[in-house]
Amino acid sequence: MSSYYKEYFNSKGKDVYSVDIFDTVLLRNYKSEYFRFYELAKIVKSEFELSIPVQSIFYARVEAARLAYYIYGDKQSKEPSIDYIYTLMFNVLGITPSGELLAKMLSLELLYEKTQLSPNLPLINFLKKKKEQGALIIGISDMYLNSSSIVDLVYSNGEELIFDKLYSSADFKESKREGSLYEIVINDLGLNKDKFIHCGDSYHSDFVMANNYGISAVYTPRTKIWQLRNKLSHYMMLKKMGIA
Amino acid sequence: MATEKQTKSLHDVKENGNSMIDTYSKMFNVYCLLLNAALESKNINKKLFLSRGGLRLRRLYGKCHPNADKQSLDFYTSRLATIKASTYIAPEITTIDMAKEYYGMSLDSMLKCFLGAEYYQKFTETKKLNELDELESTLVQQSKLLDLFGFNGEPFLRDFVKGQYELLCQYWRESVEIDDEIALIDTGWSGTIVFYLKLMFPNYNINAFFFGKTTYGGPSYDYHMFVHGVMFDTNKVIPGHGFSYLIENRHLIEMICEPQCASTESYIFDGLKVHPNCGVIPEEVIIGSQDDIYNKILLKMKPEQGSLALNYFRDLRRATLYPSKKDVEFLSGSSRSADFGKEIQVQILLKSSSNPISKIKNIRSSLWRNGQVVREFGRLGRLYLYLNYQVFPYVPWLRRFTK
Repeated sequence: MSSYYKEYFNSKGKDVYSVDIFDTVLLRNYKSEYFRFYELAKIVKSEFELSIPVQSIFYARVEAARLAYYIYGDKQSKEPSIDYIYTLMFNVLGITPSGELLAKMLSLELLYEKTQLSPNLPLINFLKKKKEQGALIIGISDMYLNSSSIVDLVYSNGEELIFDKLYSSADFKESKREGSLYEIVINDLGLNKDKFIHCGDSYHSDFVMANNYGISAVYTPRTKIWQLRNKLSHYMMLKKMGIA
Repeated sequence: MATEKQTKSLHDVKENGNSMIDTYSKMFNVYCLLLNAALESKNINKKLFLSRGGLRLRRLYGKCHPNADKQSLDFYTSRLATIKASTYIAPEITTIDMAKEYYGMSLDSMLKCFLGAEYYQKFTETKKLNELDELESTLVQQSKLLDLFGFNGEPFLRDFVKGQYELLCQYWRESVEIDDEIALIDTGWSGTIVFYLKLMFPNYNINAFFFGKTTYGGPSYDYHMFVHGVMFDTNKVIPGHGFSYLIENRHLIEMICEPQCASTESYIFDGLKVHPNCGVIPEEVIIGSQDDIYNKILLKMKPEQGSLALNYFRDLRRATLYPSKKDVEFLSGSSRSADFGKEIQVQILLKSSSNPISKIKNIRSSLWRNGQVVREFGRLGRLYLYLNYQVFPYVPWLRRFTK
């Protein structure tokens, strides 16, 4: 267990324990996001029996995710939903995006994600203990998956229900990165910020922005070796894509 | 405007055995795929392709998506035309842009450009000699422009902008309905035209889908949320974003997409309909001659769905970010026309200098900085650019050296 969590575990007098989900409660293997998109493209090609090359499906997914951040919604800080990303992706591929198609695509992505995740047991055990002691346990995630999909991922890892509430940027169209999601959480729960502590692996989103909103936060990054392997995986994918 | 010389040079640059014309046609194909996906996702039913660059994009889009092109039309406008019209309702805003555009000019010269020859002549007839002398000796400043164009400004000028406002309103209503989902499509970049059209028509649903969007490092304003860059939406190259490198050579995209004709500077009414002062651009001018790069690209475009196995056009990326001397030379004679009625040609690349300080100045003022770096510093410059884009971003302790 990383020593980064010590401060979080030793915190006193808190009523609400908040955690980031990905790479905090659920630990991904070191493969980069683009690598996962590529693997997913292979699955999509085979499951939907598409004649389109895997590379095209992969680029459509990458570009749909990028474009969605630019054009989704009517606010400056745009947090696209996964359905919108899929809609763009299928439009690019020249496939009409029906509701059924989008649902199947989501289930494929969730199935694949599940194979890439493992639970952070020390953290989960700590949260369970705190829950038994009467604390409120919440998850806050900047993710294109909505909270019900995230719940699916959390509990498919064999864990019982520990979260009292989950907040995903995809549901609220606000983000931790901008800080606005923290405001929503605070208003929704009607909390005293002094009784609230959050931890996560993003220095900016989980530490700086939480602090900016008056929430105690602990920065809990992945290990240096994991970060190095992740960066290497990302770099290798960029090389493969012709942009590094 | 791309010349024959450049066409030949572009043909010389090979990528996997194909000419750069092929590369550009594939790139525009990807743009059309992404544009169409974005328009469909937003349920757009009215696509206005803005002159001049948008007119050429429309022909490319029409070749890729013949059915989707049915709800499209050419819309003649420009920053100058929208500013003229908007000055009637918001002179305190438009004069800020006017002051920037005509910086360093006298009010007299500015008015010549802004009004055009015919209206400038009429304007001078309403003034006394000493008043004209004062205009000639006064430099453009926002406060002075407000004195001229503000709500209590010169009656002749107020009448002029009122006329332009009414004509643009009429032209707009001839083109769109109030309940349309409207897309403004153009090459780019920061969306000033979108801002002014939204200012004039606040009750219309307007989104812009540009080839690329950048705020040039400036702040993001509210209207920017309605301006979308289809290929890139950034102020600098982002390592993980495939097409963000195109921002470094957006002038080449603009040069390819700009037909050789005058820009819309104002609107006129012929008794039946409103027209741009430059007239409707003939189809053969939009498409260009056989030697025109755009024409060659257009010929290669075809309806193609889902073809995205593109690798982000590795060689085009290289030629844009850290070009060889050969890559740089094909743009050596290229120039772009300045906007706002100024009859000036701006060189994309400046002549190399031997003085180190002038070299830096040249790089700063060049329209293609990376090309200018290579022109000024040769292989050493290219090495620096290579490190800047290919090495520094991936080594954390070297990141501080990136641009």
